[in-house]
Amino acid sequence: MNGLLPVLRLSLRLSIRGIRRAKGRSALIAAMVGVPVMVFTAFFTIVTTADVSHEEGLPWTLGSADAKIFTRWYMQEGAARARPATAEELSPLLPPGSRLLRVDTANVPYRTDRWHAPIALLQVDFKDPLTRGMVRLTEGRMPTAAGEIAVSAQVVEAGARVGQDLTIGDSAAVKRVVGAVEGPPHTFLIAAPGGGVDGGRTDVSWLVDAPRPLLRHDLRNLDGHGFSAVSRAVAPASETPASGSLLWGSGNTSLAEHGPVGVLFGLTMSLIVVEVALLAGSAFMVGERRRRRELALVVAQGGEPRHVRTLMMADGLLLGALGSVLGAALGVALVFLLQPLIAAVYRPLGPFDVPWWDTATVIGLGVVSALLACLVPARRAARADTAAALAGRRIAPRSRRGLPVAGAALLVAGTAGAVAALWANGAVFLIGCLLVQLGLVLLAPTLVDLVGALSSRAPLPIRLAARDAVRHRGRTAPAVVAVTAAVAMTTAIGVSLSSTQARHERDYSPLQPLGAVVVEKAGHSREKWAEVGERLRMELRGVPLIEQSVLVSRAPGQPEHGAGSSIRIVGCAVPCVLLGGRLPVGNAALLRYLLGRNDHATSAALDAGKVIAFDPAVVRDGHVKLKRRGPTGAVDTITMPAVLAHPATGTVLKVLLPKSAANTLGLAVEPYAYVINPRDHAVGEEERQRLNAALLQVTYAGEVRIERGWPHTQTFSFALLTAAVTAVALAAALVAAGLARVDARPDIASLASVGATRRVRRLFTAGQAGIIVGSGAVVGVLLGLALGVAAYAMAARPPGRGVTSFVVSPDFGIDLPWLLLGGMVIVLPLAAMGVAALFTRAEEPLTRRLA
Amino acid sequence: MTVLQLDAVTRVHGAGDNTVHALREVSLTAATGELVAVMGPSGSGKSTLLNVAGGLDRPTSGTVAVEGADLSTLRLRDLVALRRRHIGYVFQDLNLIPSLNVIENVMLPHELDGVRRATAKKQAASALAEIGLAHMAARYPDEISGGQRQRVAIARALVGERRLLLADEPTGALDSAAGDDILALLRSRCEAGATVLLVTHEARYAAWADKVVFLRDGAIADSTDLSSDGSAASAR
Repeated sequence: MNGLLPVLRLSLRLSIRGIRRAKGRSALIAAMVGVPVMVFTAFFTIVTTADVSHEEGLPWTLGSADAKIFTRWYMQEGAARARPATAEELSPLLPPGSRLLRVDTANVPYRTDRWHAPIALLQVDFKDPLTRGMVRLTEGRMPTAAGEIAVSAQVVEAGARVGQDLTIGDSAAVKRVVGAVEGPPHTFLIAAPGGGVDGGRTDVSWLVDAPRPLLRHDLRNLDGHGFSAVSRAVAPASETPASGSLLWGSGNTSLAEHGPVGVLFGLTMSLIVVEVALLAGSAFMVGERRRRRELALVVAQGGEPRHVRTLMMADGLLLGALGSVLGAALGVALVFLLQPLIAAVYRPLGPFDVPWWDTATVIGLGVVSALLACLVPARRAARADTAAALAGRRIAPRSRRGLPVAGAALLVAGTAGAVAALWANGAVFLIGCLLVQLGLVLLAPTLVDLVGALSSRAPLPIRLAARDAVRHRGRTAPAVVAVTAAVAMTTAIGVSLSSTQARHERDYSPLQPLGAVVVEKAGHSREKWAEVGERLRMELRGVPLIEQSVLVSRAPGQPEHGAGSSIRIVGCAVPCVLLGGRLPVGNAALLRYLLGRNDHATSAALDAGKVIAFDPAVVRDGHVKLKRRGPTGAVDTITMPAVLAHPATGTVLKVLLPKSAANTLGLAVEPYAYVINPRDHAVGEEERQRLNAALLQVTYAGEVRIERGWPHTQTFSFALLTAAVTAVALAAALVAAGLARVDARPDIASLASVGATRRVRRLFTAGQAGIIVGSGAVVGVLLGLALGVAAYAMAARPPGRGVTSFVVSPDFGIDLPWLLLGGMVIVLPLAAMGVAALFTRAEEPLTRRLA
Repeated sequence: MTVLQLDAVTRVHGAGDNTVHALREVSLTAATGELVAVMGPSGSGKSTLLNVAGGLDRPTSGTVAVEGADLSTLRLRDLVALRRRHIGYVFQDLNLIPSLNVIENVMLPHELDGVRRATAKKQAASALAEIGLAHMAARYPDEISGGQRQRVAIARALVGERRLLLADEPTGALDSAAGDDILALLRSRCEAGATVLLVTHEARYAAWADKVVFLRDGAIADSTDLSSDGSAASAR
């Protein structure tokens, strides 16, 4: 340890100045480390900010009260019921002298220039000091009369203005906006007591002002009487992750428990560390090559190998720390600045919160990655031939041939592990992938040799590039592995996604004929639904609007949440597709829509009160049997006459009931959706958007949908991934080509001296990039295919089904993303060659003998 | 007192058909205050001789002793420490580390040796003052002339207790006036007690030497003693 400090100081001084001198290279390495750190820090900051911790949320919930008691909802006979909480009931359960303040909360839609989805409407007397701290008034005043309302910032953003009227609720009540407030990160409205709207569910809760804090035993007492409560004095039993650390967590969750997403996250994270170590490692090797003489001078002045190692590691420490700290700062700053955008795209955010422990861990990981990256260059530098370096002689590269046997063994073991994960879990898959990466690192030099052997008939610049790559396996192999790992991951995800997509497409049974326009009723009231129909008819001008209806589980006139009957079709194989789980009811127009043609005989049968069956399995002797379980649990069977029809639309509905069946079964008919027959009128995307905008004038929930088959949803995230892989491949190619150029200066000079043109010299550099990215891409695609099939089998296997039976079944169809694979193997290497050639300085290099 | 002693040193590179004899049975001594010039054509083994003398390269056979210490018996760590404390190198060019300023370059061996910064700086300042470059201490290598760079390298080679200076073509990248200055400086350091082994291919610089050794194909072809006492050269 003698004299370590002066050497460390010297190393850091040298490193700082070196970084300043080679700004471009330093910035590149810092960015390689910093960008992943930035991404992870931003991710953790967003999650932490979005999660509102107990302490953060307390003022919004309690104001200045000691506790809040909530209405408790529970299920009884299939319906949600509330435990009514009245002041009279609650008072005896609270410390004597406690005061209660009632808070009514309802969910109501509101309308600015269009309707918006329901938000919370709080009715409470804000003059009461107990509410202090729940919200902060930013403009105007709090509502005091029934016709007044205050709105949160998000509602103002949606177009509400203080001093203007705002329409809220299904009953379209008009309220005057008298103030704007800030509060919890959810869009909300505030009204004075009695300032609510008719209809909909209202929850009653109570703010409690008690003479002493409400302790755990008080809460237990309330709970025993059927009330739930939050007390300022009692922390919740389980903390939300936000108030702890996401990475350090509660210690009882593992990546594997998060399922495929966790596996993918783990895979990405490990891949990023490996990529940083490999690519930054290559970049450090460029530095080592450039500093070779400087390091030799240090040795000549009495520097020991450990001094040289320290000098090199100082670079890793400084650049790693610089990149990580800047990356983390940038990640936090980006989230801070983009809060409104994140809230709009992701979900409402709480107070800005930086997860310091996680950030520090990520920074630490960044520094460790950088130190790992310069470990090999540092070892090489410490072992370099000083005399040769001082004389400016070319140092023959140490031609390590890798450990092909160990590499192949790891590769096989890793792939086997990934496949074995089918019988185990995601963690095994992750370990398998890591083993594969390690195997690749050991195998890569052999792979480079193979490429060299294959290039004997290639044109001169390519042949030279291949031979040079083989001579300098140490620098070629990490870049090849970096490309291989990135390409393998994209291929694996691509194959898995593409196969899943294909399977969904195969399995997808559209409820509506392809091309049909559908507006589902969802939660609309009967009146609102009629208004929706009116608006659609007005917009469509003469196009027939067909109403799809269903039988509901209650009798006509019964309340909506009462206990109901359930009906099942006898002989209907699972999945017995119905509309929202209920039997469809309709007329001749709906039948024509489902059949895709006019069929007078079937239409007449429907009119005559017969059931139209689309599945031969449900018809027995011209009848359909329905099993009805009544509200009391009694089961009876009803037989109805039926005819079999063969729809041309491929509808997956099993039956269509005539309207008269409702009477037979004693059940009410409810609208399910409005549909437009594509044979009557084809709606394009533009018209769909126009209809949507028109409907938003009437309702918040009337989305116009066109049945287009299985929706392709993962294109964007996959495109992002492909872009990231392309960036990694190009970075690998550029770093390796840069390294090659440093090594090959004498060769390029020799080439120039024998009359090689600039083109040849550019082709030489392009060849280097092509060999690295090309061989990496081919191996990556092959490997990715194996991993992708395993990942797909793991994700797609239905629960409870045996692996073997699933893999050999027709359900297990692999769909190869040919465009992606072709792009990886052909376009990516060509792009890398192009970029490398473009960035090559083709001027004649001057070399000189130093001694 | 003998500072450097080479005894029947042979250095062979490669094996079989590729064998190259860089040095053959070279014996040589250099005493305190002596300037020994090594001359010879390209490829005669001059630089190898210098590398072996400083312990940067190991002889295939024979012994090298610096201030009485047989280099072949030293562990790597002790050999490196010996170089740090007793041997200085000066090359033709690019002697200085561009990221360090002049005084930091001179401090380098002491800093590597774990000497306190203040002490290292004091000794480096004194070494710079001796060669008349104290005013250049804060400059960086690319801010001074080629001759000044070589002078700084010489100051570094002789900083503190270092008494053996191995110079490989130190004037090779300089014009003749600057080259003469460097030789004058080396001579003056010898007068002050240093020992210099100078590799050069310019015959006129041999005139500054106490002893001239001619190498050809790795072996000593001739040896001339030019010192005023005229004692016989120890060479074969």
